[in-house]
Amino acid sequence: MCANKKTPEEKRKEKVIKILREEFENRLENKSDKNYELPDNVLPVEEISTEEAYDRISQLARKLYDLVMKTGRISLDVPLRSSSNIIYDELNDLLLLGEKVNTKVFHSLTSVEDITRLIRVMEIVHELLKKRMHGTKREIYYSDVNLFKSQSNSDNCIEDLSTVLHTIRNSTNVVASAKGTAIGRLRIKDQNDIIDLESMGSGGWSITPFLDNVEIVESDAEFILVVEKDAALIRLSEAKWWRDYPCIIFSGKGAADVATRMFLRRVNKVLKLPTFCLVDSDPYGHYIYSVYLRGSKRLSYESPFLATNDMNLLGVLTRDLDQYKVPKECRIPMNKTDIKRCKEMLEEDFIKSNKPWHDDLNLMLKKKEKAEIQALSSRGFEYLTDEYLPTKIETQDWI
Amino acid sequence: MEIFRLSNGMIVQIISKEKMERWDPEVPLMFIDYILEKKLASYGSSKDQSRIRKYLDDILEKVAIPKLTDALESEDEEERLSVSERLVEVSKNNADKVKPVLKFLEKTMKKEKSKDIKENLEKVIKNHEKLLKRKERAERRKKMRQLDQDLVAGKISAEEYGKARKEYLQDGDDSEEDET
Repeated sequence: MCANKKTPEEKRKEKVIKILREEFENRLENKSDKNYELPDNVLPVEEISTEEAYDRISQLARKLYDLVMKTGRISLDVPLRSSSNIIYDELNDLLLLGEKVNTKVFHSLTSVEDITRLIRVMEIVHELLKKRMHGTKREIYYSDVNLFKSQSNSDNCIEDLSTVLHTIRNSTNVVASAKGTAIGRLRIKDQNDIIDLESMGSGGWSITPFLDNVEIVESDAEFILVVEKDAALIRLSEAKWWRDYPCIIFSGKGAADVATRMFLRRVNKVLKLPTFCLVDSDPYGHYIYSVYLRGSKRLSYESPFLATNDMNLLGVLTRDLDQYKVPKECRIPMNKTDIKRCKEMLEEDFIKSNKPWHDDLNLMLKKKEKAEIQALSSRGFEYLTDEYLPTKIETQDWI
Repeated sequence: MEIFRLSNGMIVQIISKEKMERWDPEVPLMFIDYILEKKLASYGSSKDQSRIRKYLDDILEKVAIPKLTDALESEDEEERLSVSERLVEVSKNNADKVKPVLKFLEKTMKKEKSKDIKENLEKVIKNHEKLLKRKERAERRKKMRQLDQDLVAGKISAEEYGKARKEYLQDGDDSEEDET
């Protein structure tokens, strides 16, 4: 008789899952689908095949060669990637690259070094595409250290070349080593192997930069939880949290790399799962969330391929510190850099247009204190998994 | 993705048949086996499971077999050889995976002119036969162990046990061969 009676924990778990399932069903019925139609004044960028990328780079080389033969004085229009050319597209909630270009002339002393590096990167990428191989950003730097001098120079050229070709970096077969992890209710195909993300040990599956080999094949997850820190992932992994709450957990281990953001976006779009983010209660944590949400300024031309723009900020919100009784000794006073970053974020259009988010950052600035996700463990190691996360979802307390 | 709403409220999503069209010929087969072996039992009630099994049968019929047919009946001998080699590897690791296409492989083997491809297909079929035999032997050993216990517990007579033991030995206990 009594055996069938549900405990308060079980009842709460059922309620939490019911809330998440309703969110999920709404998405499956396309109620929350956003139609991507980018504004006219942005750089059109598309994901292309290796063959198409090879054709585009060959055509560019041919064009430059013809110009040399005809005029002897050649130049190349490279899309400007500085702040002045970054556009916030309010409708799609994305940071995008505008149409302004910087004309780099080959015969000027000021630009000759830059242009030589860019042409060298073109040559390397052409070879990669021809051989249908992938190269890492680091390998490209080491292929001509004397010319590039520092990796930031070769990285800049790689990004410039992608914009010149109107494509994303991955389509040029240049990848960056990934540090993100995913774990939980998801099965993928990586080349011809089927991988179960529930059976990858406590550390989870290391997201591969070769995402063109990866396909989502099966899932019984009903939401995605993205955590900023590896420590939070370890806590959730040890509790096998996805078994109680059917989810896929991601961690970018700090600021997320391109592969992690791209894979997250793909899982979110293909499976139409509600997605939540858990970051530290500090301006940097909020910045990390903003990059997942609408892209970074540096890679603004790739935003439509990297941003998960229907993601919610679950915590740790500034108001949570008092609400969940995080002890004062676990809170850290904000330093000058934090305050500066917080003020800068409050000035961003995409934050101004999101009142609850703006309010939380304002509160942070007023209180001038921050706290890590781990501060919640001051209330017990299981507090995050058994109390904080279920309560946040149960009360639908997210931004 | 194909969406299955289970009777316990859960939602399972499985890749659509259209997306599998781009896969290598033997991979849909491996995928079907993966779901049958590792996931199907976790999909809610038996009614839910039979719905998903039906979908997997559909994949088998509309994607896995046509893809293998195309590859193994292709005019390109190199392609046929490469697929047959990959099928040998699949059957070595888990011969159950080729079970759904055995009849098709037998038919193709008869028509095949290349000696190497023929041999490969034969290996695939043999690997499956070996697996069946192993399963049979394991089942018989299990039954015999139960009889041993029943005899000790006095649940069966020495006569009944002797008869069963004799039959078991006559059928051949090749456990040693199995273990090598």
